[in-house]
Amino acid sequence: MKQVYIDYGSASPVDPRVLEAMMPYFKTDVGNPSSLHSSGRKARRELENARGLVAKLVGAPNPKSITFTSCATESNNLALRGAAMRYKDKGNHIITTSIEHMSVINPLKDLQRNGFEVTQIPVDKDGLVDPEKIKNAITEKTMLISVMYANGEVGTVQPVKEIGEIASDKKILFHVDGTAACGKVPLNVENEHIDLLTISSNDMLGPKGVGALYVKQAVRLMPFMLGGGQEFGMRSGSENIPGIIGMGKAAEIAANEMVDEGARMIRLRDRLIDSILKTEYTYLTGHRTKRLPNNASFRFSFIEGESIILQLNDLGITASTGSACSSKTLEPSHVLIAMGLRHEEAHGSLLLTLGRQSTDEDADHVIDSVPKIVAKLRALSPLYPRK
Amino acid sequence: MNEQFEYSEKVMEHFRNPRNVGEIKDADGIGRVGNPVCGDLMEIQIKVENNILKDVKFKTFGCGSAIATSSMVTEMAKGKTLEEALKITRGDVADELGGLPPIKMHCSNLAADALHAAIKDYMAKKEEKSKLEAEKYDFDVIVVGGGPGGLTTGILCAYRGLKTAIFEASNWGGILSWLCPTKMIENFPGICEKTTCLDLVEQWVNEAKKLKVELKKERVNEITQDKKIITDSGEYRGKTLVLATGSSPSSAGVKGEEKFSKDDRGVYYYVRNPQNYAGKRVLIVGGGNSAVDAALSLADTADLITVAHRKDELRAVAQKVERLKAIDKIKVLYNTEVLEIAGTEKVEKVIMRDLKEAETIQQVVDSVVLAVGLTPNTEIFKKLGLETDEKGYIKTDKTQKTNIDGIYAVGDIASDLQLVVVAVAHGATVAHNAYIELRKPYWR
Repeated sequence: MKQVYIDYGSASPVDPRVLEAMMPYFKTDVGNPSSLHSSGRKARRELENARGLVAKLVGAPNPKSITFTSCATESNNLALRGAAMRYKDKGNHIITTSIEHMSVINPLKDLQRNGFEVTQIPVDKDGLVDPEKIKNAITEKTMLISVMYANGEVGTVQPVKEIGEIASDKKILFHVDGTAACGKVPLNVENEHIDLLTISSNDMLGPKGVGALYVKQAVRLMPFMLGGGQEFGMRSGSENIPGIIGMGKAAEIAANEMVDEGARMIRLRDRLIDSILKTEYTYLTGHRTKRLPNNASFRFSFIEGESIILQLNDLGITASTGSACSSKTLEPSHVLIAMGLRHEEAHGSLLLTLGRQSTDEDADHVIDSVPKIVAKLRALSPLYPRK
Repeated sequence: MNEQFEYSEKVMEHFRNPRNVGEIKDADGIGRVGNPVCGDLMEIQIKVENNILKDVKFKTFGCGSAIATSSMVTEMAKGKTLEEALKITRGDVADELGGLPPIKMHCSNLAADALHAAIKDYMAKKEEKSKLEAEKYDFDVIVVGGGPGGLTTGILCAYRGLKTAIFEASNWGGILSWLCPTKMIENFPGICEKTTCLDLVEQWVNEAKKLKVELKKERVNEITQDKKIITDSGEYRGKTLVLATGSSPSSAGVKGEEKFSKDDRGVYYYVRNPQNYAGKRVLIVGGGNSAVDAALSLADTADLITVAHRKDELRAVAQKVERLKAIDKIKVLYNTEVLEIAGTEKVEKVIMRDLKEAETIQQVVDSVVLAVGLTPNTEIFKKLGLETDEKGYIKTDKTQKTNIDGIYAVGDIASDLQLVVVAVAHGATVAHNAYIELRKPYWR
């Protein structure tokens, strides 16, 4: 049976070129970049090279503004808690949106428990944030604005530049969670007035276990990982050299191939969207055009997401859902709820995320299978109107 | 965490190939159970026959385990009695599936609840239906037959406050009003020799009217097991049915009986008006009270009266026999059997046989009265499936109940004593028991 992996948003395979670049640093070139011997100096050179590649990907003029972390979650934590704690004298008000990742929501909740006020700006039915609403929410105590670049679940890309300009005007720190976006859409921290940017490695086909945070020059953060003072003192701990080199390579490939690869994925994505939307009672989630190139997400009335995933799995297709039934907390996706869907509507969601290895044949198989599964499950559903 | 999400092979098997999916046409019960948190929805439909789940079908909006538990519960419930099915728990369903991930135990394991809801829906509908059925009854008690047993049963039921109707095809009072209307009542303590049969019937009818018994002059053509009677004008349903169709004079089965018993040609079964026999030679057949009564009633009018009896002794009560013996005009032929009634247009003679002497006797007569007894009118009940004894009387228990639930029998069809006083006693017994069955009083 044909196997189709179309769940890149959950986890991605490492690009073979990335893996190749990493291999020596597991086996032979194992020196610590803090060491003075040649192996150590080589590691240092490669570490700084990777830093430069990541900086280049996001348009950061100075490579030193990139701090490597262990994952995007750590980067979000470091950005939010580090900035809040460092600049709490400037104010205690933080503005965010209702569709952020848990690694933004939960650190902010923790800050709320510690005296900060957090305003969540709602989104429209397409998952878009209105910059005006952010502007209106700003008070003299606002010291940080955190908005994701693009939502991995529904693919909607936010008007980051407009929000950045507002933040910049008001001299408020602007954090952007770029996890789902970096490496997929052109992104420039300078143009978009971003002060802090979370960057994921695995989302751009680099290895897991590494991430990065862009911190604008002159912005200081309160570190919470204390130790040997690595990464400019912002994140102590011996550097994950193979991981960082892999992330650097992934960033390099992404920067070089983004235009062509982006166009290829948009074509595949639109094939999926156009075909699957032909099924009755089927709706796209997220914005139709302001959308990640690799994201095709839907909801089907009268059926449930976990059932869809299990049925697709039986046909060799690996995908995701925002259904409550598939979550550990049995809560439906807060993103879909924030977009105004009722619980039972969020119930029937299907998330398809493409990647570099996705092909037209993959799309064909999905386009062929989804309507069959939907029909099969609807035949079981007491809600589906009988003809 | 991983193993908490893992489904057993059995769960996956039911998820992939769910059993009994769909809807049942004209389902007897539907159960819908939803989970307000996640929106899961299960619907189970059932078909019930003789308290057994003949068919169970489901439709489910929900996750893998929601579908698998629904499928499994339909398999578990099919063929079970309602009581057994109500005992199936969520835990039983999960066990049967080889277990469910702990996190799924509560949210998606609603199939047993849906099944129970469907059964309860069925039960509620059934109750509603039987309530509607109950409201469709026309009367608490329907009495078929307006003779002594029927009239008195109706009076005593109405006295108890039961809504009662009596159906009679011909005359109120039955045999009393057409066989012996002018006869004085005998053998009924308190009113013996004080009132005629017709007077007593009239009193009964008046009492019944006073107690608002519906007296319906309609012939009952059919009686069904569910206590419905069909008359020419329509159908009536009673919660209790009392059969009181009484008895008729028996046929003697003699040659010529059929020919001469029609159109006043000389053969009769009773003496209705003694004046009609003035100056006639009459043969009375039989030896019981009715034969002797007939002979005595003709003593003043008939010319010659002969009583032919098969036995060597009369069966009638002693005082009547003595009165009979004292009248010269009446001759009794013992051990004599009537063989034939003969004549051209009208009866002219009877041919008899002396059983003792083995001789054939011919006697010239003008009229023959066949007083050979009474036969219960139970023909109409053959189709109904009522049990009768070898003589044709309907079998009852001591409460006058027949073998069919809710159907009673009183009077001559249920007793070979064939006495008015017995019929009245039957009426009292039925009124008491019907009241207990229908009203379920605290004292019982």
